[in-house]
Amino acid sequence: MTQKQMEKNKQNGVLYFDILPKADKMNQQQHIEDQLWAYIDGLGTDAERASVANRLQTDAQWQHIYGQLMLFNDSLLQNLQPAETSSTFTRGVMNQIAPIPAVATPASKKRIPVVMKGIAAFFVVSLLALMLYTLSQINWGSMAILPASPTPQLLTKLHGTSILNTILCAAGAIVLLLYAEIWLRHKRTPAA
Amino acid sequence: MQQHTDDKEIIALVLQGNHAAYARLVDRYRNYVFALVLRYVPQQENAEELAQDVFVKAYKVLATYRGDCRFSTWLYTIVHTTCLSALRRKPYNTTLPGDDVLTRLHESVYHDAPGRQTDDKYRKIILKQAMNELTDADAQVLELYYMAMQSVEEIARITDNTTTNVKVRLYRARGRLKEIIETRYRAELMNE
Repeated sequence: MTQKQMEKNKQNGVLYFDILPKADKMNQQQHIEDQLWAYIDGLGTDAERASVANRLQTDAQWQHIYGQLMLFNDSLLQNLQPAETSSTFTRGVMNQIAPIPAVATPASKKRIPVVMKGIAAFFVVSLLALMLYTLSQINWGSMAILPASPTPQLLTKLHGTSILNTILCAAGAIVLLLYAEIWLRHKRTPAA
Repeated sequence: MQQHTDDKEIIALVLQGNHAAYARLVDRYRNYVFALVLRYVPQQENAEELAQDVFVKAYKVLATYRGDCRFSTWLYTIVHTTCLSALRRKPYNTTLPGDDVLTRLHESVYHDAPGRQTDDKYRKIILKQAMNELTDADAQVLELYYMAMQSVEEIARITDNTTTNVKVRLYRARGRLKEIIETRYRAELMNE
């Protein structure tokens, strides 16, 4: 249907809606309802609301659908009332939380990261010290070419430092356990 | 916005050790939480008990609330996890009155007082029954909008969706609900 034909129908009082095929009528009705619901809910831009208000003054079909939707909305508002708890609800909650120790304060939250940083720093410093010590023990002048793999020579140098190895392993294990504990705690609490 | 700021102030007080300040948060959100819990557990008594559990749990993890979203949105997550855990531990009776109960209610209304309008309680039960026939997503958006009195923007945040999608879902849910009611309960709910 052309724009000219639509205008003619409008002038003759033929509602565009009435002469549409059924599927188009359903879509048209849906479109009108969507706009009216936005209007009833107070949504949409000022221009959209003004356009709907104008339609409601001039278009009988829009008025009819609006009346139906308002009736239904009032029915929902009346019968889907906000749920209300009993008067003793809050007292019940407060009684249950009374024996619970005070929730973690911001100060206590900071304690864990400081400990973590301390242990991580110890581990990093130890590792750097070990590397520097190892490099200082290598006789660079005696090697004409780089060995195929420096690892065996380093391992030989480190053979006598079993105590240092033990300390580093223990520190690494502590760091890993603490990180695991924090990760599990974070996983257990709901995301904010 | 004002309420969001007030919530953060109350939470700060609670975290500083002001135990009694938590009662203000409970009073503010108790009906909202109750409405959400009713989706999982329709019986009032069980729902109220679960709602209290939600607030106790929220108190225990209050320090994890970072304030980057509304408190109601944060609470919603706790409601969901608490209710699912509770249903796994102890399956509540989640069914609504069946058709035989509705028939008896209907008969008692019309036998006791011929010509009288349908009892409010009966009308509410019909509406709940009709909503039970909607999909979970449709029922959820209607309950959040009408029972928990949340705005479209808040529903979008709670359900992790866009405002546009929520608007469309709200319109469609109302349309489907209207269709269900008109098919089965037209006279009672539409006051005809």
